[in-house]
Amino acid sequence: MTVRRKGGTSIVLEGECSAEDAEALVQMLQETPAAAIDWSACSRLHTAVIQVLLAVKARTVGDCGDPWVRKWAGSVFGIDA
Amino acid sequence: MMPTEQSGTAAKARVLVVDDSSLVRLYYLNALKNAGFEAEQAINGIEAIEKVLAGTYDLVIVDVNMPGMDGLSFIRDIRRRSESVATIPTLIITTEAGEQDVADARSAGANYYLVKPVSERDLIRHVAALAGAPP
Amino acid sequence: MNALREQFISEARELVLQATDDLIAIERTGFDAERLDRVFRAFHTLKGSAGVVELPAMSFVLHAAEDLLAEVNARRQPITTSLVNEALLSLDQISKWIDDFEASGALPSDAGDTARKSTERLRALLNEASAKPVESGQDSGGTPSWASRLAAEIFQLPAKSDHNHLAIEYEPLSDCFFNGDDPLRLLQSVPNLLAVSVEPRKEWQRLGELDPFVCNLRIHAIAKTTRSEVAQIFRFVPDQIRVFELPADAATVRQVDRENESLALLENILARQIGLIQAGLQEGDFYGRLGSATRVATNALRHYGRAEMSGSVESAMEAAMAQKDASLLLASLQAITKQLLAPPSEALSENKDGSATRRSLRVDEARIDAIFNLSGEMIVARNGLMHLARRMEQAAHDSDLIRDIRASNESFGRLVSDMHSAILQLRMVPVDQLFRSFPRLVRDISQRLGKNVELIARGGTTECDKNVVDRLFEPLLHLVRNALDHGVESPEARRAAGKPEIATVTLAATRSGDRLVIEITDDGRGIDPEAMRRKAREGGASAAEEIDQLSDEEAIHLIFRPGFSTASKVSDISGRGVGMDVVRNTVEQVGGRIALASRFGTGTTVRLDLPISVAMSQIMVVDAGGQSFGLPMDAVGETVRLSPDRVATIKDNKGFVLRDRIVPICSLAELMGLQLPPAKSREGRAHLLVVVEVAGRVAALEVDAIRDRLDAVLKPMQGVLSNARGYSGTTVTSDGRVLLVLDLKEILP
Repeated sequence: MTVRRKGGTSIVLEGECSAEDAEALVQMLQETPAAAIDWSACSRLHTAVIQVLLAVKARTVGDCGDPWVRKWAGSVFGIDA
Repeated sequence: MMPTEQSGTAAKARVLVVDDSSLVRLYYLNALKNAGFEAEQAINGIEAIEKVLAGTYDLVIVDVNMPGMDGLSFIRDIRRRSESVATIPTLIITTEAGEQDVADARSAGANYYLVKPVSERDLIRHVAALAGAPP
Repeated sequence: MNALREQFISEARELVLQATDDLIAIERTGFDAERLDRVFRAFHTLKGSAGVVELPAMSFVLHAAEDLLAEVNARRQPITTSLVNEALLSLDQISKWIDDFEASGALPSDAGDTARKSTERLRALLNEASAKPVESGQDSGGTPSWASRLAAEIFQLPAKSDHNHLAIEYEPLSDCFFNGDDPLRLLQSVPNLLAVSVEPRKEWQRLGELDPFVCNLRIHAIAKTTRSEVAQIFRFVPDQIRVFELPADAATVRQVDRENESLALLENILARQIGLIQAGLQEGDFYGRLGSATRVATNALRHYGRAEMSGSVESAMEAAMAQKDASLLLASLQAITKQLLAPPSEALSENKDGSATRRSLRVDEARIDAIFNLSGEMIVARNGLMHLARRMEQAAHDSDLIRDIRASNESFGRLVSDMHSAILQLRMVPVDQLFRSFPRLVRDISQRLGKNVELIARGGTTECDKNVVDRLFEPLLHLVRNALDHGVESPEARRAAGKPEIATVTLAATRSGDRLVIEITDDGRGIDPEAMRRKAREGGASAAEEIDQLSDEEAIHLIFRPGFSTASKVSDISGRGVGMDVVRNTVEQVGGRIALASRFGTGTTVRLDLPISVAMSQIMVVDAGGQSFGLPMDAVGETVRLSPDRVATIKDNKGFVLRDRIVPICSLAELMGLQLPPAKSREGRAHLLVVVEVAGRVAALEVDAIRDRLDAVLKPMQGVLSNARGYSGTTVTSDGRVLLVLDLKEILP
């Protein structure tokens, strides 16, 4: 259940990310708006976290670790490259 | 970036057939050549990637079930490459077309699928359309 | 009502085109009061007209655009690339709606939604501080518009099912997170989920003001399940859910129960490319996914004789790459699918006061082709009649009769010729159809290349046969891409060379006698004859002395040799390169010629010299006796691979049984007097036969191989060969060889 920095600018979502993690994510993004978000190591994403990713049109890296999100990523996140 | 040193292209479409069964390859190759296509073969995904990097094709026909690199993995691989390799039209031959299989194919980047067994007529009809043979 | 519609449609199209051109110009030149005023008035007029024909969604979008332009006019809003992009995108949407309106008299059911989205994008540019709530529209028919739209996106919705599909709308409360709700997790328990879409209820706040604990989502889903199942899953939040039953035909299903199998396959192919793009991107495959979908779509369109539609798909692909927005390509494919489904409509307009306005008919192209073919046959028949009349003249002695026959024959002949010309006229279209998509294309490509280019198009009203125009799009596209990629220099290089920073590419069409001349000119770097010579020397195909002796002009023309195309950044996604040899072959196939003039440092002009009207025939290319020949496709019935044991010999003649008749086998090589490989080597091998029917007789020609099929203009036999029997003409294959096309009537024994 973590949201942490990697390498100074990237953000990593790990394990089960809860609604509280959404706040941490927003704060980190406010510091580095263009950060790439590696979501391959997460296992579950709370809707609040997904909402943040949608709202900022986040640049995600890797396939999402949450299987449901991975399956529906195209529909949920639209087709922004 | 590959330099495009192409000799004048014939109107004939070039098709690559990828299947681990030599019998199947023979069947497709014959059908394609008789219909006026240029056809080549590869025995698995790895060889197919080599061929595709070395030459130009208008269509790759690939079987879904192959040992080593399977059809969808092959497609996923080339779609991430660059230039004309990434955009090669692909036709997969599969044994099933259930919801999940179709979704997987789409997700991998396959442009079309046909379910085995494929008659010669159907094969040529689809190849002609997908590879852009003259009308 | 029809007259009004017709007028609106043609006027609106005109205005859209004009506004597009002006916007592109404004983007380049900056504030230009006159142009801006024209654009503003175009939107304003369009808005008014849309109101008159009762298209509120269209008026809505136009109103927003008009407001935006008013701000620009008043200099309260700067002219930026994104502003022009948005305006152009809204014009694209308007164009699509005009097409929808023309085809079915109404806008699609999601027009309201689309209008709101477009409007939001336009208004967003005005930096409005207050966020507007986003509402979903509803169909009066009971099925919400979002549901139909979502349903249509599903790859394969089975047409018959035991229960209906349900459309679910879930709007979690804004404070639901504080209650411990996880809405998307709840959605995961819905069985047989087929489609999901998520959108914000209110516009997303900026990152600085984003509150992660407020739920701002509206979730739509389609699932194959029951109401009771859904009620059970969402039992704690029943007030946040709405459920609709989708009628079984809610989604546009690609069923293959149409008479026309080919059209069905084409639609299937397009539908699957749409699904492929909608499946969403997996990391890193944006270009591959979109590019392969584009290639397949254009391949299929070309194969089924709809090459003219492939232009817009290619344009949309360029735009999608430039804007990194796949929905642009998606929209183009969807529009084309719609066009294919719409039947040709006949719109007759009558004015009440009987004044003469130009009445137009929309007619299926196939019907015109059919009439055209009949007219060609009539000419042949008339020739036969002329011949008979002459024979009669020799036999008869009644001078009155002879004179009357002659007069009647001549007047008949004139009528047939006139009719043939009139029909040829039917197929004439203005070259502008060809040029139309280029300004936008050039803008997108040059942006991508980081070059500054202006496109000028001239002579668009010149007319030419539709067949020629259709076939020219691809070569023209290649030539323009070449000019942009290799011809035009970067802005820095141009400045350093003392050239104006904005490069100019010109497309010009003129008529010269019975030929159409199209010139593509650029003021770029031109072709360096020495570089061409060097390349030829490296290639090794010719001797060094030969190469040295080439004049500059000949050296420049080396570019037509296969292998001379150089790497392009604006890749032709098919990877076949933008070789000039391919362009030349295509041009020659329609009976044209291509020539090149270039001055190194100054620029290049490519000149296409084309026939104004053509008749094309379908040819099958076969090999026999070591040579290639063309067989006219309308004589060919089928091809057969015959095993040797099926060949019967009857009185020294070979034949075989095809269904219930005996068909004689003739070796084409023998008929053409060519050498056959020794019989022994061919023993046991299957025979490749082309079954033809000529003048009521059926025969099978044995060939060594069957190669292409071509659509080509036949050039009549000339010079020494003009009296040779057995040939109906020559054409050029796609790899540049001359092909003799056989007259089967004359060569079959």
